[in-house]
Amino acid sequence: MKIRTVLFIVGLTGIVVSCIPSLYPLYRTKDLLIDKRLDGLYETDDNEYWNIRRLDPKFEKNFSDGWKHYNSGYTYKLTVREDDELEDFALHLLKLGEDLYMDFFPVDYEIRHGFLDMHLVPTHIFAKAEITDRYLILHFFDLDWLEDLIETNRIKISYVELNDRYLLTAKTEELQKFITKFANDSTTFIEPDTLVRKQLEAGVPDFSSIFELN
Amino acid sequence: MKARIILLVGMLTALAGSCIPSLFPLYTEKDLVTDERLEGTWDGGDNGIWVIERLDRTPDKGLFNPDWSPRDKPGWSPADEKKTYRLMAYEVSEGDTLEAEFVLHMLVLDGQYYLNYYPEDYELDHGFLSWHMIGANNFSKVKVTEDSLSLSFFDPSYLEELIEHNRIKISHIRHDGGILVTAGTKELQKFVIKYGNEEDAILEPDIFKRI
Repeated sequence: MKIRTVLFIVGLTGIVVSCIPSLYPLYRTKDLLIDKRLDGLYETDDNEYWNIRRLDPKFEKNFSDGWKHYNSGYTYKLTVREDDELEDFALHLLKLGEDLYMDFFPVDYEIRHGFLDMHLVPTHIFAKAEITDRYLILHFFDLDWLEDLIETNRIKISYVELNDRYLLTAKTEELQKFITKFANDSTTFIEPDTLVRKQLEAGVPDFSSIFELN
Repeated sequence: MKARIILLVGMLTALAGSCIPSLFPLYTEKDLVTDERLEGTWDGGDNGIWVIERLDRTPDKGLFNPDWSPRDKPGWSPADEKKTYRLMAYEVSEGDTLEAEFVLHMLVLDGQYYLNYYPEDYELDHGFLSWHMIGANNFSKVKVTEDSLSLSFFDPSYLEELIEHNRIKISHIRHDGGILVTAGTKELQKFVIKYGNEEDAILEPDIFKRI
C-alpha cells in the first residue's frame, strides 16, 4: 500500500488500519444470525458514525438494484458516515465456534473517477465481534499476521498476491476453517475498535436524519 | 498544465463500465515493448485527459516516483523498469477535477499491440470503502500514431455470452453483478489471442487526440 493512501485512510477512519480482503464471503445462509441488540447508531473514536438496521428486502429493492440479492432476511444494512461521505454495506452476522463474526461488503458504492472505477473490485472483509447493549467491539484481522503466516509457510489457504496486499481467494468453507483455527490466537487481530451506541434521548441531535433513514 | 487540463476534460467518462477486470495482468516480462509515440498528453473527449510518461527510475529525472517499487514485487526485474509507463488519467465530475494514476504496459501478442492498465496510486473519499476495494487489471487493443491513440476494449457482454453458452473455458467468478477473470496470465493470453480479432468481441474504439 502506498504511503499516500495509507496516510489518507488513517486520517479518515480510525476503525481499520489493516484488514484482509476476500473474494468470497465468510458466511453461508445457514450460518447467519440476527441479534436485536445490533440495530442502532454507533459512534467511533473519530466522530464517524455507523448506522445499522436490519434490511427489509421488500422495501429496499424498490430503491436500489444493489440490494435485491439480499433477500435471506438475515442481512443488515450498514451505513458508514465519514465527514460528509456516506457509503452502504451489507453486514452479515454469523457464529463460528463460540465466536460472533461480521462480514462486510459494499453495496451501491460510487467511485467518481470513471476509469478508476473500471479497475477497482469490491471484496469482503470480516471481523470478530462482541455485542453489548452499549458497545460494538470489532476485532479486524491483521494483514501483517496473514503475510507472516504465508511467508513462513505456516498456512495453506488459497490466495493471490496483489501489488499491495494479499487477497484471499478461498471459498467460504475453507475460509471458515482458516478463521476458526486462529480465532483465539492473540496475534491474529489488530487492536479492537470500540463503537459506542448513541442514546437518542431528549437534547441529543436526531442522528437518524444524517443517515437519511427511511 | 493543471488549468489547461481542467478546461479540456469532458464531463462524463464513456469508458466506465466497458471492461473485463482481471486479477492477473495480460503480460509477462518477455511480451513487453515500448513505443515513443505513446508518451504525451492525450485528449479523449468524454474520456478525459491522459498524460502518459515512460517511467524513468533515475532519481534526478522528474518522473522518478519512490512509491513505485517494482523491485519489491514478485515477478519484476530491473528490465521492467524501462518498459513501464505511468498514466495519469484526469476526469471532471460535478465540477471537480479527479485524477488517478495507473501503471501502463504495452505488449505484443500474436502481432497485435495491447495496453495493460493497473491502478497504482489513487484516493477514495471514504476510508472504510477503500479497504474493501482491490485493484484489477484491464487491457485494450491499441493503435498509436503521432496524432492519435485508438483503444479498443473487450466487450464484457460478449464474454458473458460465451460463458453462458459454454463456448469458452476461462477461469472467472461472478462477482458484484459482473465477471471477474481469475485466469492466470497464460490462460488470459490465450483468450485474448483467440478473440482479439473477433469483431463482436471488441467494442467501438475510443479515440484520444494528441494535445
